[in-house]
Amino acid sequence: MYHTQDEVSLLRASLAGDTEAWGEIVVRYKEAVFGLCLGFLRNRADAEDLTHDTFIRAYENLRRYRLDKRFSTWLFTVASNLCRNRLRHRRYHPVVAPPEQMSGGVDPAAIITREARHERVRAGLDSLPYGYRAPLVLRYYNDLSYKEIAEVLSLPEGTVKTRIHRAKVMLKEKIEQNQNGVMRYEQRG
Amino acid sequence: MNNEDNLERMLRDSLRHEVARDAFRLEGLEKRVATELSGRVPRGSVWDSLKRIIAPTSRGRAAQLAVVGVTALVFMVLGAFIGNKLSPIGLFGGGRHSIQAAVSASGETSALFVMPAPGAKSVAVVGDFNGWTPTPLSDPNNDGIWTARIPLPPGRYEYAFIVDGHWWGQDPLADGYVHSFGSYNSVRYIGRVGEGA
Amino acid sequence: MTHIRSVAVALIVVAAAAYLALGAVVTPNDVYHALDKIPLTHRSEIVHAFGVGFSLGRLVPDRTLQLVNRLAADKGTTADKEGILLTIAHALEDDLPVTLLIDKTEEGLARNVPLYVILNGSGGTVRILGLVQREKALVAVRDDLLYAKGIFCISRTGQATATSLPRTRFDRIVTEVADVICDYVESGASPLDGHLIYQQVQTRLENLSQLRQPVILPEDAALVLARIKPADLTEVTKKVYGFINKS
Repeated sequence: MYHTQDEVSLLRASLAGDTEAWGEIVVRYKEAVFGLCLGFLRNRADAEDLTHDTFIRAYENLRRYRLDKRFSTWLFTVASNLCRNRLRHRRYHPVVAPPEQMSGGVDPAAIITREARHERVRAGLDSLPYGYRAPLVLRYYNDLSYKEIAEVLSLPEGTVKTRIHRAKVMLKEKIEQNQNGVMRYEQRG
Repeated sequence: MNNEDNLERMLRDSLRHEVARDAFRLEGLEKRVATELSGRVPRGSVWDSLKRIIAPTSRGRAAQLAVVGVTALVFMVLGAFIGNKLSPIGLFGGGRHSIQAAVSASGETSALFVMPAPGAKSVAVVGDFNGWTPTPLSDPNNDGIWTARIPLPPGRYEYAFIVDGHWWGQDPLADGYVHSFGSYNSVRYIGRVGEGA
Repeated sequence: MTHIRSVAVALIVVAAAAYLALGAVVTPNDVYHALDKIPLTHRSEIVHAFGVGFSLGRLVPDRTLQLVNRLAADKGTTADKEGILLTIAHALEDDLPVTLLIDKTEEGLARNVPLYVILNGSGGTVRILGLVQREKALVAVRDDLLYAKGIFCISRTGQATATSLPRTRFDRIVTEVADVICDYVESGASPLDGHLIYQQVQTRLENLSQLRQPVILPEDAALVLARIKPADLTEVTKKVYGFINKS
């Protein structure tokens, strides 16, 4: 009666070659995988490519997935590995923010303030080394536990905690540095 | 930025904001992936993979599903023998709603909530009918079957059980389930025509 | 902290129950006094909207009091508490039913969900609709679906259009259809599958219209199901999808 077909049924059907069932898995996780790739790579086109590649690669290797792990953790591991490989072969491209669309009924001042805030964080994230940014993205975008992050990145759990802590300190400093630069911009709102 | 929470929240918001405004890039991805994979099966033996999916595991989603299944089975078997609490039920449809809802002589409807939880210290039901504040279930016979009958007007209700502090949103005898806050709620209709008569 | 909050909530509930057992009737004024526990910056706006809600029967004093007390006891930020109250207030000002919003808030509080998730939802691995998106779903169902298909509510002045339903019947349809669409979006299914969404709306409306005392009258369900098409539901659902993370 309700559309609550469970994940295991979908994976089982996918294993048997039902690509429509895999399509449903794609629907459920595409945004999460895209967010991971965008957070890791800081480049939209690469993130889009790798989201697609993640689902192809994950399907091909589905038999390697073990049910004693959360499926999302395994899928994120596939995506994370692809991102790491891509970084080895490509130069770093920062995310370029397109102008926000201002439609009728939306308060432009609010948009400017919000955009300036996002811009500060975005610039801070861009400046972080990959090894620090990746666990931060998994923690605060993908909502993974330290243990799961350790699995995805193949790092000891203690290292993950340390990196997240240091990443936050670095990010905070960077945002505060940027804050003066955008202050006047925000005040226009 | 006043504290740690603020930083985390800004970070979370910004990452989501980035994704949200590029979400259009993902439109139709599932169809493109399905088309590209069409006719292909994951590498390796399908049978081996199926065995892995079916095989019991100690943790994870499979364990959750196993517990749900076993709970449903235990309930169904026990349910058939506790005639004073429940009417006999069949394993394959029919008469299911008659055990869950009743209509009194005065025409008032009520719902019987049943949760098999042997060894539990406390079992309660929360739902939109009680403002999500716990209504306790009881097990006077100490047979592990906790029950509560709650008068409810006809309608659709979402609910979950709380067993020793843990939420259990998939009542094996619910009419359906919905996603809610990243978990499940059970759904039950009370007062169907022909029910409890 | 969870235990302390649970105890606090339990005490409030017990106190509220005792209060009711003694025969005291909760009034809108009790709700307004309870609002003083939260340092609100838009108090008058909230009080005004709640007043409208009480007068139209869209808010019930005892349940609203319970909600305000729970929010006041929560460890979340004042901004999020006010955000939740303002979302409900805006819906009331916008002439919308708020049962869905109040119910989801109570459920979220009972589940110890952080207030900012109850308010804004989450578009991460697990998709959760917050009150902000749910309010927009209510608007979309009313305006883009029911109004667009010529199904209206009898206005406050009593003026009826060709197909207009009394407020409580109209509110119920808006609430149930919006709830189905929100459930559908949270299930992670594709917004493009209009037939599946239609089927779920149909199941919900028919189930509710076939009860001993129908929650939705069979003729109301038939009217809605005859006028809306899967493509209409796809549009509304896509809109709700688009609201995720854009609040």
